[in-house]
Amino acid sequence: MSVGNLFDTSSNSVDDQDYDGAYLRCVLFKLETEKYGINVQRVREVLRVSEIRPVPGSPFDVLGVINVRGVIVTVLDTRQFFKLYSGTITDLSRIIIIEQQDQALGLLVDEVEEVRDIQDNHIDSVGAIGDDSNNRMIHGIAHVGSDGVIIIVESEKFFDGTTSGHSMGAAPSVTVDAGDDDLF
Amino acid sequence: MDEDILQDFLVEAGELYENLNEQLVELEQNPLDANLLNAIFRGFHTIKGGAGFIGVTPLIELCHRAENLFDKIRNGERQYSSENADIILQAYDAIGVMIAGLQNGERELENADPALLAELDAAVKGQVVAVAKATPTAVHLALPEGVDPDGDMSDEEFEALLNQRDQLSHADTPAVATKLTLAPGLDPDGEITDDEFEAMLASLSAGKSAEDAALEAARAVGAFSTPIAEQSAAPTKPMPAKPAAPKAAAKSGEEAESTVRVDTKRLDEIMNLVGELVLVRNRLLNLRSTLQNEEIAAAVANLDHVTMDLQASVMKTRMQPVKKVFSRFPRVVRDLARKLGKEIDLEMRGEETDLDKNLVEALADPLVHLVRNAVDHGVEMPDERERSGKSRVGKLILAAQQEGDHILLTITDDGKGMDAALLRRKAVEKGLIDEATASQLEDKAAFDLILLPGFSTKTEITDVSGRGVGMDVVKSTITKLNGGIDINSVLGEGTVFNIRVPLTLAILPTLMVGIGSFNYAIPLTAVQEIFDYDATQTNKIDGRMMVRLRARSIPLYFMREWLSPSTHGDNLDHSKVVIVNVGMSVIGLIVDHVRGQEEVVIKPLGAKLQGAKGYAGATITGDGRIALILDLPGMMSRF
Repeated sequence: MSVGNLFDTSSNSVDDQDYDGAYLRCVLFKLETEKYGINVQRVREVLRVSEIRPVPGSPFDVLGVINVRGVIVTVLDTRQFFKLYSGTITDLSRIIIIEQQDQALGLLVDEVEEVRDIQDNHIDSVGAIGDDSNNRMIHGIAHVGSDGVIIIVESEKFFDGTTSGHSMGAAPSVTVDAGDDDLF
Repeated sequence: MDEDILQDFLVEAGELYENLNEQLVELEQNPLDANLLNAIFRGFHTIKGGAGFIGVTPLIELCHRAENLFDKIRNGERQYSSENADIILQAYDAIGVMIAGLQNGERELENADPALLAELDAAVKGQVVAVAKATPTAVHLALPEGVDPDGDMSDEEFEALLNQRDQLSHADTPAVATKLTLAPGLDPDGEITDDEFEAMLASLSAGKSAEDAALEAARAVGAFSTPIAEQSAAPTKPMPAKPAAPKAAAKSGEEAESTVRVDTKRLDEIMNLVGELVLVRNRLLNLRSTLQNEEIAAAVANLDHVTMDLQASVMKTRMQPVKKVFSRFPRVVRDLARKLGKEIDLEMRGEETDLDKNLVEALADPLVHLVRNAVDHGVEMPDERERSGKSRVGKLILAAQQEGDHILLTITDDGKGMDAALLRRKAVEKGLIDEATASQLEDKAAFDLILLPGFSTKTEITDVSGRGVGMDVVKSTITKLNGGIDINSVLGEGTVFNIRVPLTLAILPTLMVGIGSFNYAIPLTAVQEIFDYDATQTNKIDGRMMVRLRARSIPLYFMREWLSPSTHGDNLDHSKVVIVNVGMSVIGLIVDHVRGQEEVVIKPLGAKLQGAKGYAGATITGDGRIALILDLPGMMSRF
């Protein structure tokens, strides 16, 4: 999946006819029932889920590693970043490979929908919603026509240390105690 | 300063600098080699040119002088004497410091040591080094106040001037003063004419050396004594000029164009992709047997060959001759031997042996340490050698050769050898081992004692070696490279260090084991033996499971407990015990399956997992799955 022009308005955007401001082109994906968007410029590719190799002793939001054409890429349990229980992998599940500098990370998501341009003036900052600790994962909220709400995520945050401030109760698919980053 | 140009300069200068090192040492063996002299001249010249481009004046100053000196040497006007060699090597080191400074981001370099610059100037002029040291001070010689330079000078005034000069000159370089006073023609009590003194002053203020002045003065006096003339003329005696070899220059120009500088990162990428190609080929090879189609079989066989060749070629791009490490040793040995007053002949063999670039770099420090040790501790002083019936010149041999998938590096000296009894005693004194253990140690094992942290038999700490740090670092560095070190020594005859390292760091021989439903790779160098788990052979001692093995109890660790807790507690009937060395201890790991030996390509774990304790990385196995490579010391430290 190539990186599109951020200002290209030719795709299927839900616009005000007279809007001539900037757009944010996003890859839309789903986690449980909510729709999320991530800046397409951060996305390298979207993969079907192959075998994810668990790494015992890894941080609890790390599902494991996959082989992407000979390079080992860490896959995160994206649900955990948004206070959701880990789900099961289905035919619709995808891994979104995001990049930052030379590093790559895989985000396991329930479904990838489409690439969409979202008008900047449709994106509200999260300040209005509250100051919950995991707001840091969220760049803003977009209200787009009939689609309702799209949560725009901050891809950089996935690369930050561990999400140890995070107090999810059970993480059924992960067997190591929360917060224990080290092996053994 | 343009950063891009600077970086280009640094890469180029770095290479030239390395080449110069080899060339300078080689020159000492063949001081008249015209090609070599030209190459060195060009080296300094090119660095100077680059430095000029980016405007690094201190570097220009140094290179310019070095270049001048070599210009004179190659034209036969000067000789590459050991004095000149010392100066040049000092200048070379100073240039190295400057380049390193630039590499470390310094942009304003300090000026080179004026004494060194003066020495270079003096050497260019063909003067004795010792005199040259006084030169900068001589320039500042001032006439005593009240003295009319055109007027007559009294004896006292002249005397005072001489004294002043003497004081200003380096205390350890009274060469001029001695010669001056020795000159029989120069009667300190006699009259000196205005003209004579004028000549002397003029030469002094013109920045010429004191000796020049003295000579001119002496010439003017007309009492030019022959001993001085000979002494002073000797270093300037022109060497038979050898014509420059334009052919050689043209040849090296062509060679330069046949190579391309490539970022190692790009090579790693290629390696990676070739690794993937190998996996695809393996899959095709499997399919071929199920498809039973002749045409496909032929094509796959062809692909198989091409892939193998490609893999070998790509591996070769990462290889460098071991010469890259060895080239520094003539200099190391020369400097150290000179400093210690020893005479050592260094012989290097197998310099063309290729090994992985990363290994070449990683081996440099341990080898330097071993070579310095051999010079310092191994080879005796010339007199001592003579007394024990050896030749005064000690022999040090540095050799490299390929042995299958390993490189064997040997450092052999014909020095005094190691005294096993002394080593045992020292180790006990230092509390490294107890007396009972010491008495049981065979000589060969006693030699290994020097690899323990905190061991040093030299009672005096020299700045060469003998701090007791180093040999253990050598050992751990080589272990980290999946290599081994082996010491042999005969008292009175010499010592041999054998170092074995794999050809490449990219490929690791491992033992593939299964734990739970996943595969893990254990570095093969750690593995001692494998046997079936038998509950009847185990004991629970102080809460710890131990297995009896040849009258020894070895602690057991259940890998499932660590790596696959969900399957922990299932029956262990078909489990295997893998006995491994971890640091100095021996432990047993209980695994579910032993899949066999496999050479794996080490890949770093992904983001957020790099540096995870317990793993050395990951690899992709023949079936495309990922196996984690265990780092046993890291794993033990967490347990």
